[in-house]
Amino acid sequence: MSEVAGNPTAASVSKSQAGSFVPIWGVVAALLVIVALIVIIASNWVFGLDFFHVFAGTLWISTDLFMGFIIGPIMSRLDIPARMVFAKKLMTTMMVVMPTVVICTLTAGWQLARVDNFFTAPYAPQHGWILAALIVVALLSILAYTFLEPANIVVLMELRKSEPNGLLIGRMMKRFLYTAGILGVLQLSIIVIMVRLATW
Amino acid sequence: MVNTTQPYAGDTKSSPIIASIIGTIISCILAAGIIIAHIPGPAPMWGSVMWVCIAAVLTIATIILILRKKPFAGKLFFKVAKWVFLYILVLSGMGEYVIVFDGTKGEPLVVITIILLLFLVNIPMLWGFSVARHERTPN
Repeated sequence: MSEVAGNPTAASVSKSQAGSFVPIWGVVAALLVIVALIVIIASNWVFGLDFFHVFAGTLWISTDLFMGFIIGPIMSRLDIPARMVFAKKLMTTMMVVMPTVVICTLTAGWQLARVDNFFTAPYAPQHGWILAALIVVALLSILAYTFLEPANIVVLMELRKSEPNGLLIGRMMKRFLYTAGILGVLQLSIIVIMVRLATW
Repeated sequence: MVNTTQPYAGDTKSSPIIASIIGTIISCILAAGIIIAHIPGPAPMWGSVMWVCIAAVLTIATIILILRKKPFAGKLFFKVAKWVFLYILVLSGMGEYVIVFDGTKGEPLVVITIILLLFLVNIPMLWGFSVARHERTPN
């Protein structure tokens, strides 16, 4: 049997302890939420669109800020085995919550902008702010899809092994938390844009 | 034999595959951005088409680079990629749904559909590769 690569103190997780990659209840809940969103978009129900956009958007922003500025510093002070146990629980839940939240925020937000006539010709006075929001979302997407989520998955896959690589997990967790912090800062600009649009 | 006794922090080298996929994602976002910035007016399609073509070329380059990568944890790559594919399928499906629902048609619809298809191929490749590249394979 080989040693735990990278960190001999790393906690050993047996296959039976690894559990499912994504919790089944979470997938079912996410599917129900998405079906509800499809129905709301089909009926163009403004309250529903507003609710989905605001609720999911708030959850998205809060999670990024919380991860980057509160969980991050706490995790960096934990010892490796504790960090690995915490990361496994956290990352498994994040695998369900974040994709659902992103889908709801963006889809409901787009439809809401259409319903609120932000995409009308001649251009609405808020058009520039809508574009600014789309640019920030583009930056968020690039960072999230290229750095945040891959790091999340690497950590999850590593933690499912019987001998997780503590060094790799540490490196990926650092990347995950730094990226979440940068996303949090970008999210603050989204708050400014959204408040400006809501108070036009 | 795989040496598992040495500390290993994963593949720390910069990868052309990752660079190519990031290039594709940026090209897709620029292509979609040109159309979205002009909605509901007609967008100058040449700009979007140019970025989509660049994204398509980069996607082909990525596939070739992944196929040529040896040694490579292919099984792990597909294991991750298939689940990510499912997630991006839902995300792209929702995107396509709202765009079609809002009456977008003609060239912008075709370009946006191609962009979503490119996302559908590239994001699973990126996430799958991000995991597989750190896997220690024999030699």
